[in-house]
Amino acid sequence: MDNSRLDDLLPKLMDARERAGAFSSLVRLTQERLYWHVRKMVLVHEDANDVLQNTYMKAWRSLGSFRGECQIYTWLYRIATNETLTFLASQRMKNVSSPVDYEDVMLSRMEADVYYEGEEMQRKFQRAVLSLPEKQRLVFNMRYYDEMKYEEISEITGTSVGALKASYHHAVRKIEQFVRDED
Amino acid sequence: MDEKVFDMEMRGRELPFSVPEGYFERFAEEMERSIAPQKRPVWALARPIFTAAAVFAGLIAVSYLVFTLQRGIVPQTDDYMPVRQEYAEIIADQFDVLQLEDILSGEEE
Repeated sequence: MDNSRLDDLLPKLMDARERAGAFSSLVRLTQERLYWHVRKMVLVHEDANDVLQNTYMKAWRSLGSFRGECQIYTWLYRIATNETLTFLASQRMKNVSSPVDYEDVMLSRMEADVYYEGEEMQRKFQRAVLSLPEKQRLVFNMRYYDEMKYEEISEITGTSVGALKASYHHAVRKIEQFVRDED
Repeated sequence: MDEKVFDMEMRGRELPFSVPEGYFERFAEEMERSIAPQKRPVWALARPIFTAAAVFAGLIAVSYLVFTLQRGIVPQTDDYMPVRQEYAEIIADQFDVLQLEDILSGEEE
């Protein structure tokens, strides 16, 4: 993604007359990366779509309070992360009385999704990733799939770089162990 | 941690997910529509006026109905009715029909 184009949008986003047009451009520039950030966490396309819509609507309503302390993209990523964690918490609450594990529910929903194209190995890997606590899974996804720098992840999650490194290493160990045990 | 070994074991960073065709284009358009200021149709602008007029007309109709029903159900009271009837009977006793006709025609007995 071209950060300079995002920076160019900032003055327009702050101007009420140009805000709507600039926001549309912002959506077009950022939607794909944000979508995949959310999708990796919620797994199902429809859920990712809902969370992404909520993310942008929240961003649109809060634009007036954006003070530019961080990059606009980091700000959007933060909103998307919060929306995703809120969504997952509500899903977990819905499933609290179910005898089936929440991870199993998520996994079967993922497999039932027409936009899931995984094979056995990928299913096993997703299962291993799902076994992580949500925040650790978030850090793992950002580092492993998006190859984000720890400093960037730190800005988004508000966690120190040291803690993030430790969290990622633990996550990798757990996944390796999980895959080994499954074999 | 040897990330390289881990990557190979996990068959890289490919994701087993896809999206519907043209999804991102449609999503961007949908967002544009969601944030666009809503243009209100003329009838929507006039709706409060019509609502107020309808409420006012309804109040008048209900008041008229209540007033009419009250007049129909409650008998008209007239404290002087028995007195008037008695007076009419006295007068009637004093004249028979012929006398009355003579009086009305202006002839004296």
